[in-house]
Amino acid sequence: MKIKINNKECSFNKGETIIQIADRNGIHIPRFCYHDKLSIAANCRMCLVEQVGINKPQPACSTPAMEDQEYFTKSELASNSQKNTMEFLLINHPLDCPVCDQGGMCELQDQALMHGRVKSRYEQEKRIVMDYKIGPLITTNMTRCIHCTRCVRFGEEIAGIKEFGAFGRGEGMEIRTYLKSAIDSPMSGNMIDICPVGALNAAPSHMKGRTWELEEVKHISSHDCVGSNMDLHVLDNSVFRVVPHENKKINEVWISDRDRFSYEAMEHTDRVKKPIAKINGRHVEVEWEQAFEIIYEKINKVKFNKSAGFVSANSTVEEQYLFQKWLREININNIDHRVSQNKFEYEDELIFPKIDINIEEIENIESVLLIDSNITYEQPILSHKIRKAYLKNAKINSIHSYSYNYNFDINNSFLVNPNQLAETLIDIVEYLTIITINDKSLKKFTIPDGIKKKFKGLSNKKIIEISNDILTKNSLIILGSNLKNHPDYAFFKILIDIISTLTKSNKAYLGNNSNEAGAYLTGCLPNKTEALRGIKNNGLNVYDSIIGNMECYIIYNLELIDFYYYSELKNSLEQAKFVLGFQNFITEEEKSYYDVILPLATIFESPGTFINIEGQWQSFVQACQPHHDSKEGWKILTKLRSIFGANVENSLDYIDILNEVDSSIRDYKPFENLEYKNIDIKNNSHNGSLIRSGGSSNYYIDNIVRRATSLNNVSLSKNSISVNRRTLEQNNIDMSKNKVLVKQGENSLLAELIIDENVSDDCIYIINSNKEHYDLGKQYEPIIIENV
Amino acid sequence: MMEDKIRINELCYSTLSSDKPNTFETYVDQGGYSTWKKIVSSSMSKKEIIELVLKSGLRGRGGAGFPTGRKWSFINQDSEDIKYLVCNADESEPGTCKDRDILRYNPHALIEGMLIASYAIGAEVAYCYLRGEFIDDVYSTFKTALYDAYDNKLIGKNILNSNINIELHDLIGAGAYIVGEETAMLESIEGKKGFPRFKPPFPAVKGLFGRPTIINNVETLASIPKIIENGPEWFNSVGTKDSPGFKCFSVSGHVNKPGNYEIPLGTPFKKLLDLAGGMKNGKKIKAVIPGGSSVPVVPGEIMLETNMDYESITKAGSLLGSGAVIIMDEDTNMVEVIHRIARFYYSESCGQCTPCREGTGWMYKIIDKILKGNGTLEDLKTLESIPNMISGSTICALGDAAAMPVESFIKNYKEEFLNYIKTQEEVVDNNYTNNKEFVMQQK
Amino acid sequence: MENMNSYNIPGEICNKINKWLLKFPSNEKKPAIIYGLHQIQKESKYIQSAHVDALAEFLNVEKIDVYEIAAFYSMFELDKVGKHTISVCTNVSCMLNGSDEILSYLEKKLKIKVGCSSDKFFLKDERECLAACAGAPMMQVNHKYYENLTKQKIDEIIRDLDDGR
Ligand SMILES: Cc1cc2nc3c(=O)[nH]c(=O)nc-3n(C[C@H](O)[C@H](O)[C@H](O)COP(=O)(O)O)c2cc1C
Ligand code: SF4
Ligand code: FES
Repeated sequence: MKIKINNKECSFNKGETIIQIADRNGIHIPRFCYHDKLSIAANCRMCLVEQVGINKPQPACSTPAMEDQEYFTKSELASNSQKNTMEFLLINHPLDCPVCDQGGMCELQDQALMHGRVKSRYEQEKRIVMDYKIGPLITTNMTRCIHCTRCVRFGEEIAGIKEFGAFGRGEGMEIRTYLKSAIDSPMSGNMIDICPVGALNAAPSHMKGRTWELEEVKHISSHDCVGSNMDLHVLDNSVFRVVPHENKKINEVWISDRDRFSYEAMEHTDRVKKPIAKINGRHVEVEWEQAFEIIYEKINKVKFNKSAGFVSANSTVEEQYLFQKWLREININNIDHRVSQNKFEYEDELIFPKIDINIEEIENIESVLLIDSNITYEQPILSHKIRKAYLKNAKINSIHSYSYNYNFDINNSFLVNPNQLAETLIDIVEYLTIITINDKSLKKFTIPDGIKKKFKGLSNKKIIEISNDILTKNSLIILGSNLKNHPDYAFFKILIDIISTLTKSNKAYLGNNSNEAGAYLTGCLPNKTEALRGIKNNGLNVYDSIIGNMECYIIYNLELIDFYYYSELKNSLEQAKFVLGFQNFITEEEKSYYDVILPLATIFESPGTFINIEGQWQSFVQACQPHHDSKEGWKILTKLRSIFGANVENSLDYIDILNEVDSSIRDYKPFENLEYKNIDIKNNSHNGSLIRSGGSSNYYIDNIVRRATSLNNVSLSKNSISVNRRTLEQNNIDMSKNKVLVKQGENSLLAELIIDENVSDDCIYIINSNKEHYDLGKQYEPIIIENV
Repeated sequence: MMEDKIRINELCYSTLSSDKPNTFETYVDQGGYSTWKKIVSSSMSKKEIIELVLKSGLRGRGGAGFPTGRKWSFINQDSEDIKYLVCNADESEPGTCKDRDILRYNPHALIEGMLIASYAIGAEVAYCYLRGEFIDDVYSTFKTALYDAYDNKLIGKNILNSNINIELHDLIGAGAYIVGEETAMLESIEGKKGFPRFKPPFPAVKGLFGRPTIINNVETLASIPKIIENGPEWFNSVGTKDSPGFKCFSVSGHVNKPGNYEIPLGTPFKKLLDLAGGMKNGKKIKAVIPGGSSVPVVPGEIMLETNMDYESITKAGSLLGSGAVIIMDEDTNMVEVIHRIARFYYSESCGQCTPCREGTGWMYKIIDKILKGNGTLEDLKTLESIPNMISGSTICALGDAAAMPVESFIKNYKEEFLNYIKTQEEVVDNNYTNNKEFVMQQK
Repeated sequence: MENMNSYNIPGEICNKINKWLLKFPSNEKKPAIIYGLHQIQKESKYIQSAHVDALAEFLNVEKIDVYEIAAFYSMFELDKVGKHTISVCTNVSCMLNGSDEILSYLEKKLKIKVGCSSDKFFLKDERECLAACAGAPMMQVNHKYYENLTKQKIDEIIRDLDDGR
């Protein structure tokens, strides 16, 4: 089918609107309310164009094209209408462009130049709208608002949480939050981008720089396993603002608030500014050369088999590759990155983040089963894709130990104690085994005896419904990253492999880190090297290394609180002869454990590559020069290799490293399904007692977001614990008191009590990210609750 | 048309001849519900009914005057989809009070009309949306009538053992002129703000809850039973070729006997004025707004030569609209009147689309300035240009409704505006320095 | 809108709302927002935040959606108002018949400006035509119609309200 726009013949598909066709053909039609990711509102009337044969101008955004129609976007009728709309929009607009953040990238300003009258004929008083604080991320200047309702629609349609509404009517209509409440959805920052004027601004960069002074550098997000694409706006060698970079296959035009505002950490006072060494018992700043000398001397004194190195799953592929290479070159084989993992029984079951389909395809899935995943907050972009599937009528089910808030509705929700998660999954396996008994394609497939032994008869109705949904539909099973430190994590993975085989469904294992896949593939593991090749001398995993009291520990871009075995690690570090850290940041408390700390450039100050959950390699360039005296990780590690005698070319630069990594692991096809082995089933869950559960606050997951001031002001984690009523009753807790005492081993904590029915039975839900909780004990371990 | 005696109140107001006009008994005594019973006993097909309505030439009485039969025929009868009928009882066009009197005096005609319409378009659920302000007034009259009809098995499941099911529900608004616009009404029924929807899609394709929906005015629907009962020819026997039948006119303003008069279309305005008792205090007529405050004003002399039908009024430069005839005498201050009208649209714009949201306020503020004696010629020029900037570029017709009166008031009574500006000339120096330029021009 | 801490919708109103919902497809809850607010306002005179919250929870809709409705429709009062609401229509037909005089007579008599409220009376700024143009000038008192007003008639109406308490 064809229409003509400005005499140009354009073909179109049924249902397309004039603006879509024009956009595709490079014909510009002005617009404010139209946004191709949002529903059509047709309220700004800026896109009015002339349709031949009709004397009224037609809104291009909402007019569907019909065969053989003819349109003009710049005829007298069209441009007069656009000029009129512009004049109307400006009568109540403050025209304060010189002091507006949006100046220079403002759609209104651009249109005004093109379509506005030179002088305003409006002389009456302008509307003034009072502003109030809506949280630490967005500042408002609502007098500038032109009521396009993009932000309102964004909340309703994309974020799934309607935070802004349009209140009142007529000229008095105001875009506001209900009761002036703060915005807290994990994607709220996108409203700043879609606001066509300067009514919504990024608070951290508000009034701090002008658009035309900035340099734009493409970057990859580092706070989840998706790898959103973004543009860093750089001013004076600092990141000034972060905006999405469109990638249709991953993040479309959105990014999470975490990715948008984490850059603030760069300037945090915890930054390690110069190399630090402990000399005569005191930590002093030293020059790089001196630091290298100390390292060379100390490391040569310790036993290599009594040394261990841990690297962050947020570091780049290049750093991880060089890190393990350096250590292996000097015969340190105790290498690991799985610092938050609890048990290491199934060493061959590699549980790195992966997904069987492309991120893009999630929106076409018909049913999703979430397993203990707080996905809306932990993986905002993936959650958005699920929301899209939900809006296309996908059924979303969830088995969880806490009833999380999602931005889609849950069809069947099953709340279980974390100890019973494995049992619940076994129930599903049992039901599916019966249902699929006649499926010939599964003839060769056998369920491990260990699992069969646990079958106990037909299960709960909800479980049957959930199972049927996975079986009958094109489905996706998602294992949440929250469970990483559950003792049965590997077992869950095996069960999910079985379920997905039985139901021919897709699965995804989520991770909180940006490059966990990279850490696996580069061989940051005790028993695997580059491209996951086996090695002769298997090293110790992180747990064994910690309790094995090493003489030397090398810790790369990880804070001690990132470790599941936090207190054990602190013990071992105290006794070690030499502890070396590569760090962006250090706290006074953690500093005391180190002998040498090297200042590491942050991801914004270094080039690098991340491998996302799909297995995609995404490289980025350096956005700023390293701050202070810090250096890029790849440079430090290359230098260390050469100091320790490796044959490294002097002129080696970053691209050479990238090429080397690439050629060393490129051949490995990381995401083919591994056959699971017929293993002995161990169920590690502690039975019979109360158990501690809980996750981290979103803005706590890594060393960078932890220090992003504005993000951290969004939600302060309180010293509180949440328990449901039944559990409290069974433990004879006085619910009229607002404080309780909890104990793990010898440690105890006095905390505020929150009665919360979202918590499963026999569970004490404690957020890990509060400082006061660090020393209490571990997740998924027994806990006792008492009256004060 | 008979020359001397006007046929009055024969259709929607026919029960007024009785002492208890709104009771079920009165309505049935006058032959009410016989059409519905006939239809239910399946002596008439949907197509036949629509055919009769088409033939009668009945035009929508809500304001737009769209032929009712044609509107009904837009419904795709073959689709299995759920369909809805909505009765627009949001009567709120300034000057209009005819629907309230139908609800008050002849609610059963409306109910029967809704049943017939629902049946004809294949709707099993119909809603009657009354404006919120009726909540302690005619709303209860209507509800009583509805219960009576339910009690008599004329509505509901398996109506009179015919296997026909039609539920008819009463709904109540909460104060918003815009909800009278049909798609805003659908939004309001769905429990949202009354923001008109953009068209296409039209309600007949995608209306209430996304289903095909027909929306008709109270008077339109209340006319249906008698039209079917007496036949289109009866209806056609009065009125003109393009405006057949009877129409209720709400006559208000400077007349001795303001009120609702249901008369044949095409009746000379003069006769209607006579019916309404003539001009109050024997004053001369100055101007008439013939179809509710949204339509252009017509000078009295022209109106006296005009007949009350769609074509004649269009020829006189205005619109028949909802049939609200507002009559003004020689002493009326036209700037004050348009000030009041402009204030109304300014308050009632829903705020959704730019030209109406910003334009209604702008017009009102300029008129206010002029009325206060602070206006300039430049202001008047700006004011004159705004209606044209709004018209035709908004989502719904409220934009046009706000623009037309302003345009016509200036066109017909410009000297009154100028008078305000001229008086202002004398006091100009103190307050309005930026008017100096204009003052110079004037001198 | 005033903040109020907590409010439980009385059982009787809950029943009414549930009955009202039967008019709509079973998954549609929003259509009862307007009706619910009317019922609550009838009891509480004006809408406060806890009313909005309670109704949203009862209907399982977003609070912001309820509030948008309360702020859009002019019959919902978001600020404290007196016992009796008086709305004098001041639109064209009534204006032509002297509604401005009626209004200022009432302002003086009740000692409140239009748009304001005393404990006893709320003189609503009614700009919308109330569809009784043939009975102009007219007013609504607690949503009851009083047409063809004169000063004397107003005196009587107010006296009745005063007596009726
Ligand atoms: C701003 C605006 C207000 C309206 N108000 C009313 C009204 O109060 N009552 C009414 O019946 N129609 C009103 N209408 C007309 C309706 O949109 C619609 O045309 C009518 O209900 C259709 O019924 P009919 O075909 O029977 O006339 C209004 C239209 C607009 C644009
Ligand atoms: S014309 Fe006015 S009332 Fe109609 S949609 Fe636009 S803003 Fe709303
Ligand atoms: S872009 Fe079409 S009306 Fe706003």
